Amino acid sequence: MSQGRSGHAFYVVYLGEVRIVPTAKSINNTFDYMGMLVGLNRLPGERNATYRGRLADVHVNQAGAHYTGLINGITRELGLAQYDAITITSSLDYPRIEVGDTYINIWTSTSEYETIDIYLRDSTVYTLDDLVVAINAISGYTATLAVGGSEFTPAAQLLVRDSLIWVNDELLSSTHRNLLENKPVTPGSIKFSRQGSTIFATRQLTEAVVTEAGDYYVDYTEGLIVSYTLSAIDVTCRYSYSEFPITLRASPVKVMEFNSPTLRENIFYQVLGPDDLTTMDGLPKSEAVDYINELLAAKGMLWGR
Amino acid sequence: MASVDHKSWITQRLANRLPQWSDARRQGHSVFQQFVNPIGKSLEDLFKFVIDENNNNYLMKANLDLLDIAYVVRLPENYSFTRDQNDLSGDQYAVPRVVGELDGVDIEVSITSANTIEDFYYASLPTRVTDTGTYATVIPIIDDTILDNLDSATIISLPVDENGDTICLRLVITISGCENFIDTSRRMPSSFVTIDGTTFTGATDTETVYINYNGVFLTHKIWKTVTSVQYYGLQPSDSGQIRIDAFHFNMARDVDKYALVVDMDTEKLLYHKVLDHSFNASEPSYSIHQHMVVQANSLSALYNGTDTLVDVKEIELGWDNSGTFTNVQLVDIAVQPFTGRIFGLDATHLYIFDPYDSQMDYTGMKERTSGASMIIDTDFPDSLRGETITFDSVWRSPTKRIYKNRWTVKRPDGTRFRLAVDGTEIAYGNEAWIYNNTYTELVFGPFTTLGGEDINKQSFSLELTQRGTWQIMLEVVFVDGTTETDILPVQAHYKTALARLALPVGLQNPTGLAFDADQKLWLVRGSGNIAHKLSLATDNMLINFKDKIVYLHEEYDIVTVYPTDDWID
Repeated sequence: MSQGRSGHAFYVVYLGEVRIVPTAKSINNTFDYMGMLVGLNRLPGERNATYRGRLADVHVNQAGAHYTGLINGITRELGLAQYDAITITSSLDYPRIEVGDTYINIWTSTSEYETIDIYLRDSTVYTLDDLVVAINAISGYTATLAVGGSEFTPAAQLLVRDSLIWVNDELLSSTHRNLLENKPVTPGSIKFSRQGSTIFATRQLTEAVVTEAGDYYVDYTEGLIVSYTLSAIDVTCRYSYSEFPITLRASPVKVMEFNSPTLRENIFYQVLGPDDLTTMDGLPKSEAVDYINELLAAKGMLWGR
Repeated sequence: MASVDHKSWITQRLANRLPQWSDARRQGHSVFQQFVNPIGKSLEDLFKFVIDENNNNYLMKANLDLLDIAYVVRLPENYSFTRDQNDLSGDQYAVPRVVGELDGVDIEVSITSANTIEDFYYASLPTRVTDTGTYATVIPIIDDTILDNLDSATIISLPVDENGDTICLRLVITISGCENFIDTSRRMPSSFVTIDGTTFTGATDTETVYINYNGVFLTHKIWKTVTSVQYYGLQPSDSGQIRIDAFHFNMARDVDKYALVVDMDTEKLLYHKVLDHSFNASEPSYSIHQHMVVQANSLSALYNGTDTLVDVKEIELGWDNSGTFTNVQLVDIAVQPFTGRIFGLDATHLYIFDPYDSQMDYTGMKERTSGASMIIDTDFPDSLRGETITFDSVWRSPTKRIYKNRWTVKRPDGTRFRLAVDGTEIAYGNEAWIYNNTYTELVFGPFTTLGGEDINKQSFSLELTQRGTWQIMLEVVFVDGTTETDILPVQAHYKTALARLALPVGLQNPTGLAFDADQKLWLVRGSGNIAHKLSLATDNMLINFKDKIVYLHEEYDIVTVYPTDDWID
């Protein structure tokens, strides 16, 4: 490597200037050490401020081996973010909305619902904007794009969610009128613990006829329980309620079960089975072909084997 | 990273270990303090280092300006740097000209003076200010509100940027008009403000901010939404006020959490503030950066201060205009986290100052007689150009009979003059000895006025017409023939900007400056209070000559490295 002064052999003098595109090189600092503690590495070219945001997110959107945990973990690890997509309000007494992997069910009454398919690119509802229009067309529901939502985002980015939430044991106080913490309570969903079996024995349809021991009345829309007998302090109840208005969250990362019938119906053409009664998966649609190609690109394997 | 020329606050702290009566402790210019100052500066660096490194262990306190990415250019194998032919070690290389191209504009990249990582990333100063294009309208989250009315006060959302995204920030709480912050029975701060809301992670959270003086407090957490603000213990609640802002624009004080000011008796927190100071009628009014200090009985957090402001130290600000000190009038300042550097704004430029006092010029101080019988005393060792200081003689050994004495003043520019006993200036060429009573008068001392009346000391006043160090010299000849000399340096403080950067044309005439939670600089301008996010770029590089690698501080589209010319000695 001796050049110049020593004079032996030969050396090349480069006369022209050099034009080079610089490459970013990450250098470990205290944030990377903190990242090691929580198992979150810096992304290539990521600056401290962004990395700090992801490190702080570890304790808020916790990762784990369940649906939410997988979404949280993968979204964060890829440097993406979950966001509020759509806010839905309802004028119905008992509204309910259920986001599945490829569909949204919207209850028009306590027993009937309409299904909006949000998965296929060629269906009427593909973007969040389409979904807002579709939900607004259902009477009793109003949807608006939330702050984080973009109108052209695929509606399939919505995370699985059910507005119906079960409360497993809410303690009643020893009064005649107990107001539950949540409303509206799903009609018929209230069950009392064993200690309340004599206090809440006969459900009456109006408050006026709660006239003797064991009679009680439930105002489902207000979440109010009225009993003739004074409730005991150890009585709990179990009920479900619908969380409304609801803001649906979305993430660019979606976790779907490949064996989900609704997913398979969407990505495979359905053909009549050998019994001529039930359908089964036929040829893959373009969406399924995308997945297959993606998997093949990541790992050389033979599809179907 | 302390600059070479400043007096460290540690020096006075070390001197405070000496007895109260000792000159070494009482005189900032004592031989002891001059001797100990280099050690003080090293300890100051260590003190800051310990705090910074401790903060770096916590996610939300760690320094975001830590070196995270360097942009690398690997030169081809056949590229060679010219080497110094006279240097036998063979590792003196000529630095190539490097130009980074960004959006079609060529930017010269310079090498740092020491070619070390420290210089490359931490000690280097920004060279360019650009507009990131991000902006937001900034209004107070809670405007000035009497504490009693806080419950009904409207809480405004945090500012949103041009895309509608909320800018998450550390909130700025300003408390004014309150009293009695400390519970004297428990010696604890008993007043605090709590904030509820969601932080930048989206998590619901609460933060308690302790309030121990009227002033400005920053939250530690970075907030996205604020749902409620409560106060506890602050009084009087019918006249005390609270205000919550998103940005630290035009606040009364900026707190430098690291640097402490230490004086003879107590240790104090250092504050920075910008105020107009009128020098005299013939000169325009210039802005002055002040160290506003809060009295504190100790460094303990349990009892750290009241709102009494004492010992205001003013420093004249300017920049080096091709060798000429040119004053600046700043509209606002902001203290950069971790570096402690003071960023200031005028209509067209951004200025960067170091946070240290200007160093006194101690040249000639070796003439002082240690333990002199007659010394000079003043209450104004730290002063400002245009101010008039007073000083007088202190006769400490009445048994030593004084024959004559004389006063000489050396201006910062080196010119000298003498003083007559009535304070009139006498040209330096004159001897100007003042002859005294040769008897010892224990009440008045040996001094007389020009008219022959007895006086107990010689007192003078002097207008500091120049910035820099004034040296006042007192020479005394005793009846026994011995002589003594005392020299008192007085500093007309000033500070020259480390850097002066032009603001982007569209962002001129700003009104405020602040750092956000990501340690990025924002300025506010215009009647609509639009805050603009700035980007500070440092166009410098670090070169590994052996391996032919150029590391760049900034990202460029393409970089041109020119061949090095022949070595020039």
